[in-house]
This record gives sequence, structure tokens and C-alpha cells, in this order.
Amino acid sequence: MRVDRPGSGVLFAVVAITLSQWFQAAYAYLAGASMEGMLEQMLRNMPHGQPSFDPSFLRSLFGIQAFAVRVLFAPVFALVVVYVMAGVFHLLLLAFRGAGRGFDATLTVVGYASGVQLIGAVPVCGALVAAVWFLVVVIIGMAEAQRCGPGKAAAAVLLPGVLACLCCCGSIAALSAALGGALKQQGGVTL
Amino acid sequence: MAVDRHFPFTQSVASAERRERSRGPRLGHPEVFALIGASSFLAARFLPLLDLPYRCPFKALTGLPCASCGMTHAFVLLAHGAVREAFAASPLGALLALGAWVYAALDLARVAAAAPFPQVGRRGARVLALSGLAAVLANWAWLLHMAGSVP
Repeated sequence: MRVDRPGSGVLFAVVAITLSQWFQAAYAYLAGASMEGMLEQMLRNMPHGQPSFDPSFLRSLFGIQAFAVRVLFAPVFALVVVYVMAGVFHLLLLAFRGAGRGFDATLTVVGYASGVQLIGAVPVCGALVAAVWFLVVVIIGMAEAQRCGPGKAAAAVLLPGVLACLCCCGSIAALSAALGGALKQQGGVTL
Repeated sequence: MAVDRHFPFTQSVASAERRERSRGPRLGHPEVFALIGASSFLAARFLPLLDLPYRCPFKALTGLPCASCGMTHAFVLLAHGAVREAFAASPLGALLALGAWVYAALDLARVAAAAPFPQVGRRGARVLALSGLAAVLANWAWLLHMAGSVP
């Protein structure tokens, strides 16, 4: 495979990420309505004086407008994501002296590795599996394409990932704490 | 008459180069990044980004800002001309916004003038990359200091 002509790789990535985004937008739209009803019922059962929750927050995230925006802008989002990710990885490879074959090689690897984002079309766990698999594929691909070895490739790919993971773990913990608190208020259920 | 042992290959390369030259200037990676930079200005200036119901999950959980906290505010405030407020929200975000928009304008001018993209060399690129990494860490330290968690 040629690593100096990333056009096909970028096109592949845009198609894969766009399809994945369309599926995820559809799932979010379908799940949003049921989640809104469930949360409204949960909030009705909470004692007065608790901080109120605005259902329009959920509508803005999972409503028909959010669905339309996600579907329309998915290809642009995909292109931006691929270029920004490749740019960040390449900057870190430069910092670690591992970018021997230029930005084209990095962009080609990120482009073809983004093909695994199609797994994101699988509901529930698809996005998580795709994200992990993507990191593995990018590290292997970067080590081969840039001939920098797996250590430098892993460092360049995982350093921004560590920050992102920190934020993801934070959001999961915050969501768990919020749901745990709500359930405890409702019926003394402990998580 | 000398025989070119690589004849078919050299001919295909030469014709490919001729075709490449005849096509004129093409959009490359610098132009894509310039478009992304210009789009970030349009989004920050005309979309109601600060009205989106989003809170940084890291900040919501720990009460501390993450490394990229305040960047959206910095982009939006700078796009509306509030320079001091933008730098207060996130110094790195304001510098990033300024850099992205100036780069987009300069690259547009470069393409219009059909000038070559300036090369910084491998050493220069490495210095830039390390400076960027240091800037991210310094910005995070400043945000933590402003949040009152670091003396």
C-alpha cells in the first residue's frame, strides 16, 4: 500500500465515519424519546426541593433537530475529525522523533484505520469497541508506516487518548453518581 | 543509441509529472487545515455554540478544569472581538483561535499568489511540536491555578 497518496484513505474514512454517525444519530433519536419519558417519571417521584431537570435538555441532544444536524454534517465532521486526529498524532510523532515518512503516511494510516468506525453502527457497545479497535489499528499502522516502532507510535496515539479517556471516565463516573443518587432518592436502591 | 533499461517506468513517471504540471495548483493538506480554521471562525461567530447544553464532564465530576476547558468560550469570545475575555477563558484557546484564523487568511493569500508552502524543516517542526505540548501543559496549569486548586 502506498503511504504517500492519502486521498483514498481519507475518502474511505469519510464514508465509514459518515455511515457510523448516521446509524448512531438514528439510535440516539429512537432512544431519546423513551429516555425522556423514563427520566420525567423518575423526576416526578423525587421529593420537592431537589434541583429540577429541564426535559428540553434531552430534546436538544436527541430530538429531530439534533438528528438532522448530525445526518447533514456527518461528512464534514468526518473530514475534520480525520485531519485533526492525523495532525495531533503527527505533531506528537514529530515530538518523539518518529515521523520519518511525513504527514501523508500518518494521514493514510488514520484514514484506513477509521474504517473500523463502521463498527460504531452496532448499537450499544459499537462505538466503544470501534474506539478501542481504532487505537490498536492506528498504533500498529503508525509503527509500520512511519517505521518508528510500536513504542513511539503508542506514545503518540495514546497521549491524547489518555486525556480523552480521563474525560470519558469522568463522564461515566458523573453519570453513575447522578443515576445512583436519583435511584437512592426514589426507593433506597444502592448501586 | 543508449537503451533505457527502465524505459516503461521512466516514461510513465515523466508523463505523470507532465500531467501533474498541466493540472495547475491543487488543494493539499495545508488548504484543508486552512478550511478547518476558517470554518472554526464561522462557527464561533455565527453559531450559538455557548447555548449548547454541554458541561465538561471532568469539571462536573472533580470541580477542576480539564486541559481544554474554556476553549469554546475563547473561540467564541475572540470571534466577537472580546480579546481580554477570550484570553481569560483560556489563553491557549485564544492563541489557537488567533493562529488558526491568521493561518487560514495567510494560506488563502498564498494560494492566490501561487506561492509555495514554507518549509520549516524536521528540526523546526519538532521544536514547534514540543512547544505545542508545553503550551498545553502550561495552559492546564494556569487554568488549575485560576480555579484556585494550585497555589
